[in-house]
Amino acid sequence: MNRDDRLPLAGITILDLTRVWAGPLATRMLGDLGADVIKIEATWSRGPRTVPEVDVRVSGRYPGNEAGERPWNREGMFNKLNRSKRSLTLQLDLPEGKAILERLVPLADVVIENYTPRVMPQLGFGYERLRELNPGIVYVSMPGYGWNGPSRDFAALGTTLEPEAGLSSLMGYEDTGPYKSGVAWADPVAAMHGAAAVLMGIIDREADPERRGQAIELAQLEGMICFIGSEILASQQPNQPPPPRGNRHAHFAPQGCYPCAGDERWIAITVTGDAEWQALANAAGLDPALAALTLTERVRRHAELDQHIAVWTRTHERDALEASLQRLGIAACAANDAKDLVEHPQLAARAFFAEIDHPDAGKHPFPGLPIRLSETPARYRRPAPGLGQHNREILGGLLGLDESAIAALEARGVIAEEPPA
Amino acid sequence: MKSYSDLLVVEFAGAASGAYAARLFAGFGAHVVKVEPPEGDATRWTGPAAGGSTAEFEYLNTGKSSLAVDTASATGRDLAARLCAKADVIIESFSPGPPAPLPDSVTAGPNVVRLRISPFGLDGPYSNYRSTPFTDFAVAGHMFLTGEPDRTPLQGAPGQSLYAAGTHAYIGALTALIAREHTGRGQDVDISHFEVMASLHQWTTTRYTHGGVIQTRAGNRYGSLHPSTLYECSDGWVAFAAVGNEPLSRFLALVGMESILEDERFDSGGKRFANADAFDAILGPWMLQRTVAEVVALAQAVRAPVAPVNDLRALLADAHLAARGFWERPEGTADPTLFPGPPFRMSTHGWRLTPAPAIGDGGRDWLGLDPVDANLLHDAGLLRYDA
Repeated sequence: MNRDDRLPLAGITILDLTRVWAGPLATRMLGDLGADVIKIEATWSRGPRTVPEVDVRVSGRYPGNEAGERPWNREGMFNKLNRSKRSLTLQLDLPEGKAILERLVPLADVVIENYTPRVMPQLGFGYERLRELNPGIVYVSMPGYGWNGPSRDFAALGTTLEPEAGLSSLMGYEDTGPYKSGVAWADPVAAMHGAAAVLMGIIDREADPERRGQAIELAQLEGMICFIGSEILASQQPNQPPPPRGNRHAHFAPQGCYPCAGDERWIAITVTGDAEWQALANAAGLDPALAALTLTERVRRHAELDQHIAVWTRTHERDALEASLQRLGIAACAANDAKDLVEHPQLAARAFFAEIDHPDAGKHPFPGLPIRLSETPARYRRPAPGLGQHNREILGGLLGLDESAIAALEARGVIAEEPPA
Repeated sequence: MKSYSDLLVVEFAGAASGAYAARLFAGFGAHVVKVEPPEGDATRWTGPAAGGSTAEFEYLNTGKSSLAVDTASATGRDLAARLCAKADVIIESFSPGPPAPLPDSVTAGPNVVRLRISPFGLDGPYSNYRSTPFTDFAVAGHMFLTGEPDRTPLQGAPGQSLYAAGTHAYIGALTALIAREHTGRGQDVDISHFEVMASLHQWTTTRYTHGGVIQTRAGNRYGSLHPSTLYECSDGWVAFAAVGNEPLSRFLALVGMESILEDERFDSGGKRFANADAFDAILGPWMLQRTVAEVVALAQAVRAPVAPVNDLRALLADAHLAARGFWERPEGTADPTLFPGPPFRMSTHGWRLTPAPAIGDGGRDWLGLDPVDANLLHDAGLLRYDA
């Protein structure tokens, strides 16, 4: 028995046309869980053959800040997002590229892409065509705005969708306008929805006696809005106070991010009840009158309490403070930076980071899949593929092309293992 | 394979993450029974009210029925176990703190998929630590990156770790249901807010492990390229992400400012990031003289990714979302409150949006109780419902 048979999604083949972050993260989750993800890439998709040294240095995403011999296979974010996949280069703007995709679709279970809605029909692979080629295909389309509506063809990125979906209006300091998250938050949110949509499509097909597939429309803007549903509902009630600013909570107090001893060391604390407040106030040596404040009074005197807490936290080492406050039953956590995460004792205890060895990029720890299945756990079977690494395996093995046919595709620039010059 | 609409999901969720996972099942048409204490789930009462209970409760619990029993009592556990024996998926989530252990006699079965959602996971030195969405955002490294470099790190939008963990739990459950087809068995799925949020960075830990860079806050700027930022206009803000040279030069040409890119400080995204204050000193004042709608229309005319920064009122009035029929009202109510529609649209499933259940509404139908027995349990206070 093939070892992969133990993986929960073994036997599911996904043709992955997605790019950048949202789509590739969705298919990486599915690949970690055992799906055979064939990443279909344009030969130029990973950028040119050489990367300017300044870009290597500024990005910080190349191992040891060196572009190396094959920089297109060394970029860390690509390698993080594309493990557990195979790479097939394919120029879909060329007839030979289209012909190969036409032969792959009948062998696949899923086609997923994150283009605007006009691209797939332009390439000749709208859903009607995909269904002709394979009635069982589960097609997941994840554009920014959906298949219809006035903004249908608008360009979008995670950094525009989070503000557009209303989240940024709920963020910001007391004296400023809106803020964005530190990551392009709408992207991983769309990734989760993309992975769920694929699985829903598979379940429905397997339950259907005729094994029919379907087209699933994932408008990234709408999925992002689902993540602030409670706030959307609350905003429509009469006499609502404006959303809290800064680091305040809508009804708990105090809540804040407080400085600790050292440079850029911070601790985040939410006091969720009177008992927790009394414990915190006592630990901080505050006046007993302050320790006795009710929630209503704590809300009213929040700024003053923040000052008292900050004076105290500033004299304490962050991690020791986190431990001692947690011992008192208080929700207090360090505001960790990248190094803290990589070295974090809880993540280490659960082996969250996976050491993955890549032939062109070396061995590095990458975040794992945070879905822990007791009987059929995920596995990181392969590092991110080199550009076109599996061209021969897929074209020869799966489609039965002989070496001369593959060489002809190479000569025409339909496939490649290096970016075009 | 069992049809999705025949699945029974039993939710013991004191936390929003589990309630949201169950809500996704309910929305797409599975049967979901929320097991809550006779006095009702705590989230019914904490926070601003929408209709009968809180906005959070109404949002997270549409499409479900409720079984109100006291699982601290032997009879309550027996009733819950009777329900769980029929379940395909059981969801446990309690926060702050780890899952309150429900005995295996209630929740374990050979074919059941058991989701166990907690702040830090079921093992490890932090497994008993408490968290809120605010501290989840901090511990997983997002807060450190959010806000101004010279000010306090800033929280994200409320509740994001709960939605993210709930959606990951949903993915885990769907995966385990597919695996059940070939293993013939269910399994446990351990989901933690911390790991979920830590897995959702773009390049934070990668920049550290590859280039030794510890990324810090950059205000509304982003990563190492510019302009990906928010600009203030005459009547609001725009999210402007024409970050590559091509969309940016198309936009600047359209508005007659293409000469900016001839300045060697601004001829690449990285250089623009290094000189972002000088760049914004040119583009910023231009933005202030235009409306949000003007800037978005100009930018999208040349396919540059630019969008309005919506507050919730503007979002509810958005023409695109209205044209797509995204906002929905729960079936059979006079309440005018609009709810978001589904996160994605399937031809095989509608989106079930019946109002969140009253305490004990509908769940006891799954117990197969004789009506006389149900009445006895009801009168003894062991099973709550409106008779």
